[in-house]
Amino acid sequence: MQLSEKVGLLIDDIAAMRTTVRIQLASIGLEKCDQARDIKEAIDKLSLKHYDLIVCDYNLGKGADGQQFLELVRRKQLLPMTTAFLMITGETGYQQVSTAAEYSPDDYLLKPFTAETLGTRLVRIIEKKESLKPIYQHMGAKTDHVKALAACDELLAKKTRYALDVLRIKGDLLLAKGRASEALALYDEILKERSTPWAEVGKALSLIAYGNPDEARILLEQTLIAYPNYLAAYDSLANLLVKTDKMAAQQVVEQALHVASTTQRQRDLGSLALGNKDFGRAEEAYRYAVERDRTGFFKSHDDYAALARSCYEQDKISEALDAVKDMSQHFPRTPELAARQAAVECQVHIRAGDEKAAKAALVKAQAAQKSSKLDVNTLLEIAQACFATGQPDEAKEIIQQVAEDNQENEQIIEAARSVFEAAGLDEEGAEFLDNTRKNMIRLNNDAVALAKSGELDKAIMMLVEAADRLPNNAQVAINAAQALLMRVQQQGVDMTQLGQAHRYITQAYRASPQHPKLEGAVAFYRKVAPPGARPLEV
Amino acid sequence: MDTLVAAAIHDAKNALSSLGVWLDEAQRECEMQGSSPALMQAKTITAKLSGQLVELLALYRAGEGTLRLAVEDQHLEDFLTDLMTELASSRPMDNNGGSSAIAIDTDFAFAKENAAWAFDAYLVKFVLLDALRNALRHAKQHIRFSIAAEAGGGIRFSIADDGDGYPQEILRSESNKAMSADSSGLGLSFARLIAARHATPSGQHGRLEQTNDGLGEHGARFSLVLP
Repeated sequence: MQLSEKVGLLIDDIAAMRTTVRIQLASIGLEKCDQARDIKEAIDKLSLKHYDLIVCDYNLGKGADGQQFLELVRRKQLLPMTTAFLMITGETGYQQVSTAAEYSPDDYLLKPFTAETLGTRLVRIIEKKESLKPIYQHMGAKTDHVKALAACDELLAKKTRYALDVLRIKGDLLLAKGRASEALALYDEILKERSTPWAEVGKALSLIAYGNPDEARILLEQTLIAYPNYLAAYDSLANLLVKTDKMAAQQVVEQALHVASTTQRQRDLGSLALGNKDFGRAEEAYRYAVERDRTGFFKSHDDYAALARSCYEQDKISEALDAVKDMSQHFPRTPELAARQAAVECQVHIRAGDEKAAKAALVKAQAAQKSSKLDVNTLLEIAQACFATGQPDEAKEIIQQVAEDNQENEQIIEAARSVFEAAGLDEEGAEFLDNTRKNMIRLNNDAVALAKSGELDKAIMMLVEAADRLPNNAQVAINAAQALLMRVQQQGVDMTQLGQAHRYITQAYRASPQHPKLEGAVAFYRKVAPPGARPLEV
Repeated sequence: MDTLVAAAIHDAKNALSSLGVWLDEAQRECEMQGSSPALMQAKTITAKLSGQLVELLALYRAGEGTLRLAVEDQHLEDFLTDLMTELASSRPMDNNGGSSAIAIDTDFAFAKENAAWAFDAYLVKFVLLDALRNALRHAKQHIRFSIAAEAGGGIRFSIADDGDGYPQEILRSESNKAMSADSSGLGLSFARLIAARHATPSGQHGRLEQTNDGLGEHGARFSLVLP
């Protein structure tokens, strides 16, 4: 394997370091190497060109780190699994954040290092990537778990030196498919020989999936005693506890922060502290996130809004208003920003007892809502402001729309739930969201029943109406497409209906590219579409 | 946030690394005129100093409660290859200034059969490098470096030499005076710390063993057992 045939991308915020590493890379034969000084530049380069390997410094300045970058580009599908990723760190004890291979660098290299060491490591990880290619080619944008698992088994049968890496990926894939007992058996087999952090956490995740959270909790706690620096174990434990014991979850994130303080973890802590009404701690965490990320790639309206809330909940009215004002300095002036600021400001004024100012702010937010399409978080903020100003019906209308549109997105449903909780309506919120979920199930079931009883046109009408109203609900869009395709299959090709089906499948793909029912709908379309019909690009 | 002491050690370590780069460069320049024993010696001392700073930093951090281990699966053959490469690039001279004639036999069969083990490769590498350099100083002719399974779970790295063995006070663990009389005991304290910090969820811990059943009549044997 020749490094001279490879194309690399070097990411470091410090110019002198880029120069040094660039010279080292050239001396080991990697002449074709682009450079990026921050996440934005790196993303621009990745969108334009294919790279065989990435060398990324962990510390990217401005509150951004290499791990955030890796997770971001994997989620955005900008970095295929076949590209090698080497993380450079300045500190001993830097440890993997994720158990999942997808979000882990292929190797770490501790500064300072020699060119020779850099070369040895790069060659090793590129060789590993090439050996695991049969699996990786089925992973990424549209992970085909069945094919990827089959590739794992084939590679395992060949007994290559990468057997352990294959097992690790296989465990991830089994867990992703909910095949808990097989995953558990895999991890137990490894742990029989020796302990290793990733298999301990993998076993705990299998136990959770298997419906045994208590045993998982004990295992994770023991794992953290043995490997107190293993961040993936903290994250898994916090995720487990957040459902049952948010106080304990907050403590676990607090411990993880002692190991590695990242802006993302500060955010997680802030969010838990808000939920636990530990507003002082929430303020501290969000202040950290806001200050570290001021000019960074990951800065967000959400941090400022949460900071403002942490402040006004402690009756720090002027600090809360400062946080709202600060947003104008750090973000472009969009309707989105105006709506978010107004909605937060409204809640601050209510807290300060200034109802008139609150109503005026809410009117501003609602005007922006009418004239533009707003993000979920902004919509939920407006809902919260509606609750605060005594307009529960308006609040629920917004939440219903958000919940129906994002029915399969647990995080958003959870965010909707916390809006009710902030208004002191915990039980009503749980019931409301449960009803929304049932309504969506009923809509889909009713449509299927109608179609079966011969009233396909009625079913189509229902589903098309819902799909147009709920652009993020992949399930509804897929059902609408399927009903339309049934109609085409039964009564012959109608290009309008075929075109509609095409549109809804594309809509579903955009909303949820990994949706389990998507593949079936795509196959159905390809089956009934005549030659010359618009091909599906999914 | 690093304290001043930790940051200073860190800086010194980086400065030594730069010095190492310049020494490499100087050696390349010299190679045109034949080898330079003085430069080789300077490189060896630089590597040793670097290692001592790593050890000092680890001990300091352990005292502060901020020492962090990165325990991860290591491909054992790769780990041992890297270790031997690093040792070769900074092997101490023998007393005549020529390169050392001591032979290191290795038995890495276990690594071939058992691909990986979980430990902090960076810190464990320094423990073993230190022990190997120490053995090179004391051995007469032979060193044996091996890795094997430990009964009851774990792996054992052993470094045996055919020198005069450890002094009695080390064997009785009375003294932290390290493997050699002229040393401060830093290496041994570091090795003990790193061994003890390796643990498993079932409660096993790593350990050091120092005995005089190495090669020859009563040569020293240094063992690092990792759970």
